[in-house]
Amino acid sequence: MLSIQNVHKRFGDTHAMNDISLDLTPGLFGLLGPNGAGKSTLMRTLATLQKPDEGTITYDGQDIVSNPDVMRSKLGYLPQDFGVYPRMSAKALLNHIAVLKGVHDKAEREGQILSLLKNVNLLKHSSANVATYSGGMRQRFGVAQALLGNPKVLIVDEPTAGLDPFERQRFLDLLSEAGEDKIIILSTHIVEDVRDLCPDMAIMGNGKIVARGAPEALIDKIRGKVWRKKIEKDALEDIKIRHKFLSSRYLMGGVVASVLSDGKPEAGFEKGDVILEDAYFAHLNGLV
Amino acid sequence: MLAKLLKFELGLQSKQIGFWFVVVIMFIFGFLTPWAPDILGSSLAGEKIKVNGAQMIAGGIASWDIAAIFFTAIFVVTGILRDKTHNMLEIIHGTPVSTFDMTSSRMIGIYLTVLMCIFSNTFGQFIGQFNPKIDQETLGSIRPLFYLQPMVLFTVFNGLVVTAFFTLIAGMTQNRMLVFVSAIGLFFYSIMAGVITEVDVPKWFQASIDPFANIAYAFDTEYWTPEQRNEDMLPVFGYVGLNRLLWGSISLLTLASVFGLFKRGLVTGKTKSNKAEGLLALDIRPYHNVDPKRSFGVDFSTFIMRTKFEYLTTVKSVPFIIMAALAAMLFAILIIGAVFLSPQKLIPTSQTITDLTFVSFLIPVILIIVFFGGEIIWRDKTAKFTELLDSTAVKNWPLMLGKWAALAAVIATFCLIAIAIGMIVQVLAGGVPINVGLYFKSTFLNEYPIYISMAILALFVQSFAPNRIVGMLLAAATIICTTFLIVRLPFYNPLMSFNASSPGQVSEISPYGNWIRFRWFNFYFVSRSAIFAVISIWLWRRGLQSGLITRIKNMKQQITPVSGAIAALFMAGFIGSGIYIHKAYDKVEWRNLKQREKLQVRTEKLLIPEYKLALPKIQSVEVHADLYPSQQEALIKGSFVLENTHDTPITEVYISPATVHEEDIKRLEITGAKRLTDGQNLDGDDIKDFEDINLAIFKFDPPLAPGAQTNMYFETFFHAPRLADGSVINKNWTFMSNENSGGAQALPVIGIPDRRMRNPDKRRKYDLPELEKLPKRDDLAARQNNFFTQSGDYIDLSATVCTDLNQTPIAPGDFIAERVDGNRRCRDYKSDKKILNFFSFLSGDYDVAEDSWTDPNGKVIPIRVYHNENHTYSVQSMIEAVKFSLEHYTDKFGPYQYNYVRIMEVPFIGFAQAFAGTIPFSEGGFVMDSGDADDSQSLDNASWITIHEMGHQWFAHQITPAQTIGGNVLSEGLTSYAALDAYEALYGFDKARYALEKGAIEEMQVFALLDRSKEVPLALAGEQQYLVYNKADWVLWGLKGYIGPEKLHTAMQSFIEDYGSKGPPYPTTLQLIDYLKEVAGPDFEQLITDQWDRITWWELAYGDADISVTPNSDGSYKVSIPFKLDKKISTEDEPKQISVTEIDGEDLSEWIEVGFYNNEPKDKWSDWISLEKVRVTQSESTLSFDVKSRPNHIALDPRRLLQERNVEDNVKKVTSKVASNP
Repeated sequence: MLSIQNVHKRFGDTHAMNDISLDLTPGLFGLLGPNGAGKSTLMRTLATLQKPDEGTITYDGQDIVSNPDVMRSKLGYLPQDFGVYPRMSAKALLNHIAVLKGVHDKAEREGQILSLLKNVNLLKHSSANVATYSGGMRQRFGVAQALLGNPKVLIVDEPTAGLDPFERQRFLDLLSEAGEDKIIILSTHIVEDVRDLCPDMAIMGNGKIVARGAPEALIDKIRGKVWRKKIEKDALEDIKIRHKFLSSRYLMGGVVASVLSDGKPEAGFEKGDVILEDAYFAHLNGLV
Repeated sequence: MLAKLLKFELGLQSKQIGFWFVVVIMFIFGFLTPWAPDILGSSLAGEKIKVNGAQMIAGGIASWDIAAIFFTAIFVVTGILRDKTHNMLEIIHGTPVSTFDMTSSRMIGIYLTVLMCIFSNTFGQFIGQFNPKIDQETLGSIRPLFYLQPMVLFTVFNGLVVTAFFTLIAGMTQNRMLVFVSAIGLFFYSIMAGVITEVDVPKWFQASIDPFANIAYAFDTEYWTPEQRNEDMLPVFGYVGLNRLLWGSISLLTLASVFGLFKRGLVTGKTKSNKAEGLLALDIRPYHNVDPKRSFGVDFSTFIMRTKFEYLTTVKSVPFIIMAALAAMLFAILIIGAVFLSPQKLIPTSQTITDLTFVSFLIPVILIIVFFGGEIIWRDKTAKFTELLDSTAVKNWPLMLGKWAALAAVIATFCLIAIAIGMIVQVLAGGVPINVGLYFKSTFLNEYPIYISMAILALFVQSFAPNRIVGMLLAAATIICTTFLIVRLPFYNPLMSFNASSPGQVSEISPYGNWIRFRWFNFYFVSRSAIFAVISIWLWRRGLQSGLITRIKNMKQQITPVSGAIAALFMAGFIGSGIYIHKAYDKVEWRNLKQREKLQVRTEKLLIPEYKLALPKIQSVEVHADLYPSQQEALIKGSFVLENTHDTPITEVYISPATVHEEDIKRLEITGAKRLTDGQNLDGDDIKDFEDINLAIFKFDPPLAPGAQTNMYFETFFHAPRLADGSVINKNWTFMSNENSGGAQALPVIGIPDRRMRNPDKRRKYDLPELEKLPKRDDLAARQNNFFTQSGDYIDLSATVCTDLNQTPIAPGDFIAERVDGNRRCRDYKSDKKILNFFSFLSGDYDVAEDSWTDPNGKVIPIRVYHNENHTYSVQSMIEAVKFSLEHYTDKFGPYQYNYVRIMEVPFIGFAQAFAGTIPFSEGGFVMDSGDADDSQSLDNASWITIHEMGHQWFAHQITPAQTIGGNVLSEGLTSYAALDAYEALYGFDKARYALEKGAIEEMQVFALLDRSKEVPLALAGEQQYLVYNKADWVLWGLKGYIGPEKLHTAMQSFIEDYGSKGPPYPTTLQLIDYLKEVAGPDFEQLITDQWDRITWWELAYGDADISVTPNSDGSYKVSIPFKLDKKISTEDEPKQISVTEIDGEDLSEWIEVGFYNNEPKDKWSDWISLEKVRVTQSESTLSFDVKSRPNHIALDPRRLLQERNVEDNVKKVTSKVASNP
């Protein structure tokens, strides 16, 4: 089990992690939050790339801050943005990373690389330089390298940003296939990534965990309380002031505003189907 | 818009830490520049050429400009490529700013930044002259204009050149790496441009190819006197002006073309991009997990993989290939130059080539270490791979050591490339055996360790750097400081050396001599490097917060039991070996440069009165020298017969033992005298004060009466190599002299060796009085002593030299007998007539080439050349040269006095030396190519040096000069002339004139500039080699040209007849000049005075009018030449040259020679139609001659009879039409 207790991290005036506590068990865990919420800081801290100012992080009871090797030997990490050595093929680079991870036996290594390449559908391009890959291929390569060895903790930071819908779907499929026995932490600002995939999730904002639970549970909290209305663009500011505003989106010349309310907030509002996005905004904006 | 952009650029550049780093460093180097001759003991400047004289400043500014190559590359990368580096390219290049504004603001920004950096250096130089620590005598008055002119001529243009060059590369390629590589390329190019000056191409061309105008600058000031160098500014319309015009235009054109070539937007690379095939069916299969392992074995194989990866990535990279190619090219040019193109062609033996390797590869290797060291260390960061890498379970040590090992392997690759090139050249040259062992030994035991020690330092300091660029600059600074500056620290000791140690010198004929030092120093060095490595592992950058302070804070966590134990172990090794080495050095009282200097000063001050003590003179010497080359030990014993040849009794005598180790002096006794160990000497000094001076003081009781004789006995042990103290005995090819001259000192020396401080600037610094000159020529007492040694005149020598069975022992004297006793070989030598108290002992595994020469009386003189079995290249030339010189000198100067001639090859020396009939000759001299006898532009040094050393048998061993000023001219000067005369007889006029030009005239002018002391007239020359060898040679050559060889040789022969082998009083230049004047007659008396008794330079030139050629009625032609003449005089006290026309009571009245030629006399100077001599008394006149056929070219003083600096304008083509017959 991965246990994060009262972790703080400051960069100058920015409180990137403010008293974060989370206990994670195997399974897919979604970490949802807007840009700048501190997700990446948390991911990097878990990946032992930086140390928290305060708080403890343990894996199976062992402190990974003072003893990062405990985490590293169990870790598969796909950073938000990564480069590769120039002029190295996917196969060669995977081999290189596998050795770094301690996959010592050559035959085993090659076997695993082959099966991973098949799974991420890169077998055909395995001799091409990774540096020349397109965004989607690079992300798939990223998953493959993260899965090398036998990681018990898989951290993927904003993996679907910049992927087209098809690639994104494929990527998520890959993740869900990655294994039941792993703690998989998927950090994202895209609600849909989490919705279908993660039995457990947290919402992070301003360095804090503002909500934690299964997506359904988060939705349940506001079920029946979400109201929507198509309004003129000019009326939006007024609604924001007078109601517990959740979100708005343009729709065919007008704007559809969503607000949170126990009863009908005003004329014209109709009860909407509650989706995870509503729950996300509700928690993020401190409305529940 | 442009102004705003420019302001932004300047703000951006000046906010870089790199900019300020460069400004500060450049200022510091600038500040130190005027002080450098003082600190470095360089002879570039001093009392004669002022450190803030016009040309020292100009030269300083011009050479520091080269540094701009490196920092400009950095600024260009910031200025031009920052969009790409910071992924801003698409945004910035997409803005509506015009390409012109964008590009020009950046270029101007870079240019101004570069200028600021160089100006900070110049400003530093300006401030540096106020440094109170600089010796005031080396400073002239403060003249800001001296700084301004070169700033304009050099800096402004050079800044433009580098800015344009790098902007072009950056704009075209958008590749940071290629910009850095082109910096190295440009640096190499400027080095190679210098090499081209050795090749025979027109001067304007040579001056044009160097983008920094250093060559042009050298040409413009080539013939300048020290006075001019201090006072005169560079001519604007000289070679420098030409160069600036050319490179200024090229730079502006380049910058203009950048606008055309500048690639806006993305540069598409060649690599094919791989598009995702997104629409494939989902087919995700379960894959198997593999459990990672962690053990030392796994870590080790990770280390191997990382090493391979880092190594291969480096050697396969374009920069490495370019760098290796450039270094290889430089090396090849050097080899080709030295072996095939230089006037003295060399045989491309493995030795010749390995000697060149270090010279040509040192700078490339330093660049590789700095550049690739940075690349390798920062590779993961540059590739943005750190997050992936650092979150894996890999340990720090395989990562860090992988990088260190990769750099070591890269350097080794470089060394192997050098070896391969060397061998290929040898194969191509053909016929020269490849000595594989020597290649690998000298590369991997002598050079590679030095490179590795630099590399480790460079990598170590990278651990502390905030980024790659600062890291590289830091590494370069560290290498420079530890390699060149650290030894000059007053508290320096060998433990502070960062260089790994070699086991000594190695050559084709002699193996390494000191493995003890090798073992201890490398143990020490390896321990220290290991500690550096462990610290670097502890400080390894891991993760995202990797600032130095964070890493130091976290270091404690990095210390594991294993790494702690390793560090402790090596620390113990480091301290232990350090203490051991320190003790060893302490035991032999080792001193650093500063301490040696101080001791030297103390010794000199203490011994001023004792230098003048009269010495008993050695009458005969008996020596038994037992050499044990295989053990590198020797025991040398024997005795002197001493006599008081003075008319006062001798009470005290100082002996300088043959060893500094008191315990190795087995016996040192003088009959009738006692060695003092306490009390006071005659002068009242405490004997204890002499303890560290290595002198033995003997007191005669009763004093040694005039005419009385006594015996001195000695026995000295020479030890095998020790840690702090090498052995003077080589395993093969040992060379020892009786006194400390040439070979190692073998016998005790009577009297105090002259260890006085020579450098006049240093003397002032240490408050020593001006160095007392040699005695005057009319000092009769001084003439009792000869120039070579005061401890004996001509002596009888009886020597037995024993050595290992496989070696041959050699000493001067007739060979008497050889005995073989077990595994020892002994030979007895005995002089049949007296020889100078100047002899040597040698031992080596020799082959012998034999020949003989029969003198006019029928006496057969055997000639033997002792050489290494493979070094037969020059042997025949040497034998022929010996025979020829015996013939020539006997004919011109009188009989040869010994019964034998022996030449012996000796390693590790750079000279040949003439002992009585025996000539130790450097190994390098045995691998020379005698060249084409008909090629007037080639030198045959093997023959020439042999002829020179043979000349000493007459001038040195027969004419032995007195211990007065000018003395050495009688030895080296007369010999140099005699050798040139013989060389002319051997090879003809043209080859001799070329040898004179290269070997005497050019050398004289270069060394005259480098000499720190004031110039004196030739007859009064002290130690100035450029006078005693070069000027004397030239002056006598000129006199021969005017009065003819017969007269001159008659004078020299009579000089020998009257003074040769006579003993005291010895002759001086006063006597020589009398002989010269007598044969030359009154017509040339003034010439001899000008050449010998004052410092005279002639200036010959054509007048402005045309040369006219008119046919005479008899078919000959009348040639009228408008002619300008000047003769300038300077003296020791007034170095400013004054024309004789401005001196009261002096007139111009000079014999001038004019040559008439059909073809331009470039290498066939002897090809004249006629050669005319005319006396000229006016500074402007028209000279008329009747010449038998019409000349096309005219040359003033074609035989170089007069001392003239610039003779480039002495040859003129006759262009005027032939005037019609009236």
